[in-house]
Amino acid sequence: MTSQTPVSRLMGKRRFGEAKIIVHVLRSDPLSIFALAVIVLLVFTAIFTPIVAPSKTGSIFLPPSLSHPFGTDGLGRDLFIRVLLGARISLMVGILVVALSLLIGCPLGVIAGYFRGTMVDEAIMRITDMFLALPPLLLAIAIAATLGYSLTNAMIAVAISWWPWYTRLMRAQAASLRERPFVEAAKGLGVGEIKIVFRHILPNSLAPIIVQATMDIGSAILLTSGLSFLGLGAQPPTPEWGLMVSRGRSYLGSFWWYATFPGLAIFVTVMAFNLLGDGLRKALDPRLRIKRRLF
Amino acid sequence: MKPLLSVRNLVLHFDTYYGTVKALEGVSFDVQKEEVFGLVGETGCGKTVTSLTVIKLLPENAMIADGEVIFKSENLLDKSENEMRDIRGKEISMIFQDPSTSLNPIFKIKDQLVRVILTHQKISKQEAYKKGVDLLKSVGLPDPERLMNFYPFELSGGMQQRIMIAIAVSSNPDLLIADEPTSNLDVTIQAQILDLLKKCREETKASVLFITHDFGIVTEMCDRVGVMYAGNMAEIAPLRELLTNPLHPYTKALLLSIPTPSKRGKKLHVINGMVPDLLKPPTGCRFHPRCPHTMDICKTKPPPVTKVGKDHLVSCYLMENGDTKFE
Amino acid sequence: MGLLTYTSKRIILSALVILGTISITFFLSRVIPSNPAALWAGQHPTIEQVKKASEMLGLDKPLYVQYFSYVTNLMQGDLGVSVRFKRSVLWDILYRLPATLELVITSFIIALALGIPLGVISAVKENKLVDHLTRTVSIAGASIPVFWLGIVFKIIFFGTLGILPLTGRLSIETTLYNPITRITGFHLIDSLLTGNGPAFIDALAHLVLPAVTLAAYPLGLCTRMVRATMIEVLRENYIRAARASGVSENTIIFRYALKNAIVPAFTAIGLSFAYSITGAFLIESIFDWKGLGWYLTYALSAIDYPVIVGVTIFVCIFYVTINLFLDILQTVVDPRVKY
Repeated sequence: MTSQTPVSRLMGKRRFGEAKIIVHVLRSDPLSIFALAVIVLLVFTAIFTPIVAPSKTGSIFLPPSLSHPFGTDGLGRDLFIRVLLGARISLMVGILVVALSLLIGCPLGVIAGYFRGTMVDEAIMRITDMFLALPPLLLAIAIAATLGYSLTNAMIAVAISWWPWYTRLMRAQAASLRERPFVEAAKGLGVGEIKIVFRHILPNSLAPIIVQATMDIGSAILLTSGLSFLGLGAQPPTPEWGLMVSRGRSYLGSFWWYATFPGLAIFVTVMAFNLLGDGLRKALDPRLRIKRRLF
Repeated sequence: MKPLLSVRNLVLHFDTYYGTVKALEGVSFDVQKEEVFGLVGETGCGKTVTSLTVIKLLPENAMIADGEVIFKSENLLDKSENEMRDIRGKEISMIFQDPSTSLNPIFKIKDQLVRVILTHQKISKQEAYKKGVDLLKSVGLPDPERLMNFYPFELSGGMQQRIMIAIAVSSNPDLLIADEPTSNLDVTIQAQILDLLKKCREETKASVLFITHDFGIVTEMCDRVGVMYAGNMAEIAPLRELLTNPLHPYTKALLLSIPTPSKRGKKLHVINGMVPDLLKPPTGCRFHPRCPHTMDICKTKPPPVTKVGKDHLVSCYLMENGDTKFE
Repeated sequence: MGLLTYTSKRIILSALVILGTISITFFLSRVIPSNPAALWAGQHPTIEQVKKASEMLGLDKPLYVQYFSYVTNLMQGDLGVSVRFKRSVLWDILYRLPATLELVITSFIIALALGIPLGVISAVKENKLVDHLTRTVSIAGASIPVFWLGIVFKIIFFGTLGILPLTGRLSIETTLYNPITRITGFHLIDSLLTGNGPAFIDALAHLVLPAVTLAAYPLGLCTRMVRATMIEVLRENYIRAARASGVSENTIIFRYALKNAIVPAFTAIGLSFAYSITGAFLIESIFDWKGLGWYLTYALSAIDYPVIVGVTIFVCIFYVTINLFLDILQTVVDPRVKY
């Protein structure tokens, strides 16, 4: 190590090594691979179905068959195609909701954690507590009732009731990282506080956030489809999975496929994200890879 | 005289995501009855792992590739987990380095102490409680009755370690393994704990396998010493012999680098190089990259153990030439 | 500070939080484009009647006056009156509450009774087949849309197998021939207390599907949490030291380790209890279970705003109380947490 090597380049090298280990651990977990495969398939479906899919129709309420793998719905639309179309909606919902929550919650959390114990921290945490007290369903109902029933509003509702979780998480991370020697070192070198927060603390707190966010994409899909099921979210004729399940509810005995397949789609999608998040948690936790030195 | 504990040719590997860590490569030593055997070496040389192998408390990914651990004429490595559980705490006890994390934080002292006593002795709860109080008193703790109702975090490091010792000697073990028991304590407390250990040993006539990296402690406590390096046993000798006549180059360098008042003002002796990566250890003698006297043969196979004098064992090719005195 | 001071501080903070929530919901509700006065006045009101209703409801007063009177009423436990039913909202809530609680508590018991042992087994046999299976099942439990699962169960158990009832808390026969005298509002308890055997069985049969469906999520969550915390605890030094002293493995797992593991898992599990409330609402709509959720669903479609606001506030207070309770419980159970 010569004195010429810039520290940033060394950091870059280390991070690359880390990435290799993470990929290696992930690859060795069959459940994670399966989850990843499912998600890739979903993304594919989401992108290509609207472009490629034919608009097949048949008679109403046809049971599953070769030409209509999931049967048809009350208007004769092919359910399989509709479920595939729904993939795009759900994926977008999941990603947008989580992105929004992250955008609001993380910076607030990092700031609160870094300035722990001060008025800033107290203020942020009190507001956070207020929002934390609201169960997402009720908040969604309130917002939907005010602004009208739509998928966008349902998404906003979920995001608003979710950001406090990220704030809490980030705050805990930032507060513990703040005590670390490398922060003191940075301060000693004269690095400004804002810069410390965003360039040093934020990146190092990412690991649990990534895990949580991945699983939350699934939960977001779960929650918004639940709202659509209740009629507060997506409205017909949107091919949203939750909405389809609620439509199919009236035909349980006779035309069971109407409610079953969209719900199954939700299940598989959410499960894939949860599995991936779980696998990521294992991969990103250095303690879960057995240490080399054990004395 | 037959030794109490006889470790022969222990080879230990760990299976990790990074590869196979070859932690121990043919470690052998004896611990006689009623003696204090010191296991010395740098951090990472394998001392703790060796002791964990003796009581078979290794993690899941550990593989004992070869060797025997003969305790009272039986090979512990052949024993089942149930049998080992009978031995642990009763015939062989272990105290660990960090007393603050070795006690269960949400249980009171009396819960932990009495339970261990009851595990190995068929007496009533009240008798066990009384024994516990007596034990606490004998390790020098004030007001033991009150202490029984305390939680570990309410006590100082020194007190916690005394409690660990009390638990360890509660059933009069024949062998006590002490893994750096004072490394996390203040120097003054250190002295007290060492005195306590000496006292325990005198009273119970137990042998002690004392693991440390501090030669000062070695000089105070040990009868015989084994020096380890990178998973190998470099040299074993009685204390005086080792200090006055160290033969392995590593031991010599180690002793030279201990700062003493006589070396004041002079540059400290340093061993060049770094401790090897045990994923890819050096071939042959693991010390050869850093040894000032490396020969070609050192790179080929691990050196055999040569017996020099009455009780002095060295693992070095230099001994084969009969050269026992050199700079 | 002592436990008392800590508790008081938390209570005050919680009260502030509730006040904030109330304000938010109040203002949201007043923005709803509905006509409560018309609703109140009845089927085909004349303009006169609507105006009179408006005065009676205090809707003609300025907004801040309404807010003030609402909050003061709230302090006295008056949640307003349902516009449609003309009954006290609070009374309605309390009448419907036991149904929801019966559902939630039963499902929670199921979730804990299965989840904790599964989590422990999973942790002890980490990375073995049992662990992988349990992990999959528990993640599945946390991924299943509750409304879909209920429907699927109905199809399987009622439609195909025909062994469990479809909807409701009691069958028509029971309400006609073996009606349960209402003491607590919990059908299971009341029927036992009055020695009404057939009704008890009927109530139980009706409880099975909804409770099991609702239990899926907390079960998954509980198993995962317990597994995660147990694995961490089992790595700790004091577990190794306990093993070194020869204590039996069962004692180590179920006493030493589990007690340490439950404490951090507590909060998460407790929160999932609060979350179960919202899941319960979905279930109530599927199984026609006449609890709070059902009450709220009606209010949503009729836009009966006192009910909407009332139920919202009630659930919020419930949430906050549970949070508070959990916080205090944690300080009591874990001797290390300093107030």
